[in-house]
Amino acid sequence: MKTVMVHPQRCVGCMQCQSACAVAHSHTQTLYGAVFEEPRPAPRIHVGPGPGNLAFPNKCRHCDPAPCMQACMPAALWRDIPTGAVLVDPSRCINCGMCAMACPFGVIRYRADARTPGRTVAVKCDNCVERQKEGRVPACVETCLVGALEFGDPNEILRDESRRLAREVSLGIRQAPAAIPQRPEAVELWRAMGDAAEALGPGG
Amino acid sequence: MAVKIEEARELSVTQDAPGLIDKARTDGVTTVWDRHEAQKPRCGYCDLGLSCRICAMGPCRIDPFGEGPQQGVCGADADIMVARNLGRMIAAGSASHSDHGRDLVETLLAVGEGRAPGYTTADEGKLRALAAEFGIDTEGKSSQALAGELADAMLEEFGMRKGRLQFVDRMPPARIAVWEKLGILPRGIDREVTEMMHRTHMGVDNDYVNILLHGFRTALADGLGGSMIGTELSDVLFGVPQPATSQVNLGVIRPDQVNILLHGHNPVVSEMVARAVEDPELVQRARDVGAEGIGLVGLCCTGNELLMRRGIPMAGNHLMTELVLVTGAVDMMIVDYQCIMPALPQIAGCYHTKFVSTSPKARFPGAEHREFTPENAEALAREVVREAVDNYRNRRPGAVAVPSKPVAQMTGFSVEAVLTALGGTPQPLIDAITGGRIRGAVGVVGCNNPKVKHDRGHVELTRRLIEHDVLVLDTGCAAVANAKAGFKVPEAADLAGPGLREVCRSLGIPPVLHVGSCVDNTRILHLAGALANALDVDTAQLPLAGAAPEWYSEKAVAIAFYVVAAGITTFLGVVPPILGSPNIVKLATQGLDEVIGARFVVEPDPARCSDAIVAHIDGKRKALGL
Amino acid sequence: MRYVIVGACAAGLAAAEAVCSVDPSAEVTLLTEEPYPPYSRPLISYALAREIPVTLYDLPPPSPGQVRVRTSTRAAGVDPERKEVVLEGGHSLSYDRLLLATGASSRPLDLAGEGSTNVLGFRTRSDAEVLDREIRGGARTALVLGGGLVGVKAAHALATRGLDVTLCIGSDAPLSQVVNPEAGRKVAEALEDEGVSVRTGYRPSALEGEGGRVTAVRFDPPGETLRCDLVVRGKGVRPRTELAEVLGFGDRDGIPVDARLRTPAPDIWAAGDVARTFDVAWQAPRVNAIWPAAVEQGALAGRNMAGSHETYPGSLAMNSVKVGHLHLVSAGITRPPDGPYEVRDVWDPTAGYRRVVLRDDVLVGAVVVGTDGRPGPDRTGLLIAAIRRGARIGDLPFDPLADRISWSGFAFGREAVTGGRRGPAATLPTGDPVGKEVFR
Repeated sequence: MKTVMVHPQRCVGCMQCQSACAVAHSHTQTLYGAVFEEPRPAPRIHVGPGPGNLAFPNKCRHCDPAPCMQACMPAALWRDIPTGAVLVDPSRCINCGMCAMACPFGVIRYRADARTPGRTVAVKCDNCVERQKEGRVPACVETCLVGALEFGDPNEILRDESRRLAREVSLGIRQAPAAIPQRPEAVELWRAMGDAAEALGPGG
Repeated sequence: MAVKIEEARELSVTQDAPGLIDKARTDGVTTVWDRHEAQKPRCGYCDLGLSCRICAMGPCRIDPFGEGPQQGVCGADADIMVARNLGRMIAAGSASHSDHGRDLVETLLAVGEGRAPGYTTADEGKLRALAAEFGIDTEGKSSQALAGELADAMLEEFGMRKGRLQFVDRMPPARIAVWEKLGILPRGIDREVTEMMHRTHMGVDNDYVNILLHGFRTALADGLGGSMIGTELSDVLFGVPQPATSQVNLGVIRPDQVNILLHGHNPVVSEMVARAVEDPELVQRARDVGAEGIGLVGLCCTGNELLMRRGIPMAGNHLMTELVLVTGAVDMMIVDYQCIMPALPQIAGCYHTKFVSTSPKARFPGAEHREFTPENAEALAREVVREAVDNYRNRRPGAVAVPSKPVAQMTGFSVEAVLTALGGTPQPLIDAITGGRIRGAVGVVGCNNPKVKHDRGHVELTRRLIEHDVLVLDTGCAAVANAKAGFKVPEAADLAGPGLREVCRSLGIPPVLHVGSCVDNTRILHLAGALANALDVDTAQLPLAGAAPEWYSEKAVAIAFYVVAAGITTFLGVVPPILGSPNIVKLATQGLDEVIGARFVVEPDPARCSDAIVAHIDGKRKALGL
Repeated sequence: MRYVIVGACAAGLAAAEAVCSVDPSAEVTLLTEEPYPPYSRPLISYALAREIPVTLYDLPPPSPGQVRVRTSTRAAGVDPERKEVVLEGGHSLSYDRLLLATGASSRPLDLAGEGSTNVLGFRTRSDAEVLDREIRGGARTALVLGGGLVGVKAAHALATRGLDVTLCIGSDAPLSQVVNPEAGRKVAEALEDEGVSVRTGYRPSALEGEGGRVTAVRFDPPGETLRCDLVVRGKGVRPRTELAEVLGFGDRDGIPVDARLRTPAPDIWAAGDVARTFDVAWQAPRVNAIWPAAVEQGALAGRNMAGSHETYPGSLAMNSVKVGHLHLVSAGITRPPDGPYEVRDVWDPTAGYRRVVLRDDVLVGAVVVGTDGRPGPDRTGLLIAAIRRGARIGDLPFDPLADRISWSGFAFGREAVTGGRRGPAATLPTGDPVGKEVFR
């Protein structure tokens, strides 16, 4: 199953994924249109501060088994078998709050969303299943310029990387796995500033 | 990797661009379209005006979808953030035009002080008229003395002494009354810009309406200040434009001659270069290196200045500036300032082209810098032209390709020229408008922007407007687009509606009149003021509109604001970064009408924009009882 | 293999599905004494209030090819020797594996007249339908006896239908078994705002009436009689252990199970509201009669019945209650007994009311009460995941008393999702497995 992998160490906190997500779940499908929709479409990915005030894009992991699905009394949460995505059926949602309570990642919100005007329902990441049907990657991944969000089969991504590593190590190109992750200097410097900020304490 | 020419045609409606976009990619040259693509997706917060980098408590953003922060660290909400950003755009645009204007005043001052060899007051009549307008006693004074006095008086306009700019008086009393009531009479060119920067500092002006009102004032300090001075003094120093014919598009570059490109906005340097290329010694030198002669070609608004006054051919507008270099036939590009993409020296470096910067304000990594002053300009221009001639030898014949033929155009419609064409009075124009042969007039102005298919906004809008008997006045990049589309020859009257066609045929003019560079939008403002005065009405009552279908620059924002301040509703083809504040959007697109008699309309589709403009003009006509 | 599951609600359905996911040749029989196909019991309050259509009751049927649902079928006994479930009416049903998911029933009042037609529990679809019939038949006044979750939900639903509702509570605040009195009083205020009259210190002592109908209830204390058209039992639930008691285990505290949810009898498992599982907050066996625990236990028991060897990490009490503008979320121990407990309470306009309970600095309970969605239940999952993990307060990278988004859920969440269960880990690589060049 393909899903969105989060590489938090790459995130620069631009929150583009958040607005791209809201636009992808709007009627107009454009930024200029979406901000004038009523109700305004809600983002399903949430960028918040992590350690050292570095940013972390938080979104549904589509867990299996999914605690939210187990907690859902009207069976409004269901799994789309082809994509593995955990989805909300807004017509069944009774806004009881159980799924958010069960979600260990804190990624379910309750909104009158663009798709359910007038009714407050659980709103969460749907892995952009509609876009996937059109052969497109989720909107947050498409918009992420720094590679903090990646769409793919997590097992495949990890397997490919370990194969590449094994090949390189066996050829003597690299000495040790410590060589990954290779990050550009600009990012390293920025991260170092993050460490300094952390050393200064909260809000530093 | 070469792209299919069809793909390149998706980027530009012009005949000449696609071939060179294709060549650029074949040559491995990155262009504005590639960089535009690489910037996608653009930042949604910035796009909506909801990001603020003004102070170091930030940077801050406001989440347009209500999830995240709704205030910056200082407490600024969406309205304040958008207003500040917009205010600073206007300030930057006004500052740019005004600094350009000041350079002309300083040149005039140097002429007055007799230390600017080569520069003269080419139009003495205009010099005297302007001096009189500024309350200078012209009786028996030499033009050199008047130049000095006028320059002094105009320098005063930048500082704050008199309380209001002199050129305010060119506008009808009804309009001045509106400005007085709103407290937005411009008091000094530098002052308004400075005050805008002050107001938008954290913790100063936090009322978005108040900030926007000052935005109008700042913009008026451009339209009736810096820009208008720029236009008027360029006329004094280099001559008032008169109708003439010339050519346009990349075809004006002839591979067999030494080609010098002039790019930027200010005519002070380019006029001297234009004189230098006529130097017989340099022409002979060009023949000696194997060229047929020296070809001088303009780009952008420096190009418009040269075209208006000297009929020097125009190679292209903003998005063509890179492609011109890709022809491989340019031996030198001389630039002054504004809208000169930092990418140009790099592209020049891919060919043999020498890239010469001339202003101490505008330096470019990879350029050769030759600093021009009023004192050294005449001599330095000759030296630079000589270098260009010598560079002809470095051409790489395999890299040269000029894929199109030039198009003819008519140019030079200054206010004075228009009035002359009309027999010395605006009355025939007024009669044509009141009689309905001309429905109204629209200034189609502004830049190019890679967000819009190159020149499509200008050309399609203009074509539709003239079909509806709307006279189009154009400047800047829009003017180049319309000329390339063939709208600027008297025969283009055939494309116009029956009324406009008849007027154009009787006067022998095209239905689209070139009034100059982007500072020359003040010519349109001046003409609107003259028409309103002749009719004894407010400019807001006239069947006029402004349109900037492909704008990109902060200067365009300043222009749009002074045009709306003048009571002329303005149609934008590119969405300004204000959508993050529904209050400001509402004010700009609706509320302003009641306050200032005009508003902004955003309409990216040229066909719908044309319909909206025609409806707007018809509304104004109806209100006037026409 | 033949599987019999007694009870077709949360635990039973989850078990049936889990059995089929592990054992493709399973033959599952789901028994329910109710006349309806599987439905969602907690929705009866929403249905009674007419907030949802009746169709929402129905739950998607589990693997139709493998699972047979027998409605109106009551299991009367179990013969562990013959491995048979004895059905009411005399038939019996053989099993290889048996799951007791018999759930719970409304706690009785233990008063004479309790069998009257207008004295109801609030537990099943029948209860809701009878109440609905009574309302349509002209009932105007309702007394809800007991301020447990069932009582609060029943009172709120009846008030929504326009009845004069009095919620009579013996203790000094509603939900006294769920939250501390401070939080409970906020629920009482919210109920009052919704039109429910809340009386505390009211203990029913007698039901008065005639002709099989109760017309008034006597309360001592305070020594007052209240008239009524309807009486709803709202004192909470007790596990239905009748079958287990026949087998010699199980009592009013539920059926004891081991870490794999097996009962003391061979090949018999128990899950859901009837099972006394390990409680991670109390660190002791306890029945947690809540939907998420029932699903989780049913699924685990089902997989183990079909051959897996999984260990249940333990249950945790948690509840989400919505009354008007109020939203209350509670988890774990909210009213600690004497001992090494520490309670921290905050009340502020943006964070709402919050309580965390610590035992030796370990987070064991929390209450979050918000109004108008501030704070909503949205991020309480992070806090509850921390309780589930047994995190020490000092190790929390966020302030549990503040409503701040944090990536803390990251670490806790992963453990909560993967802990002791199968299935792929949450997709959160900690390294940078791809090594894409980003800044060129």
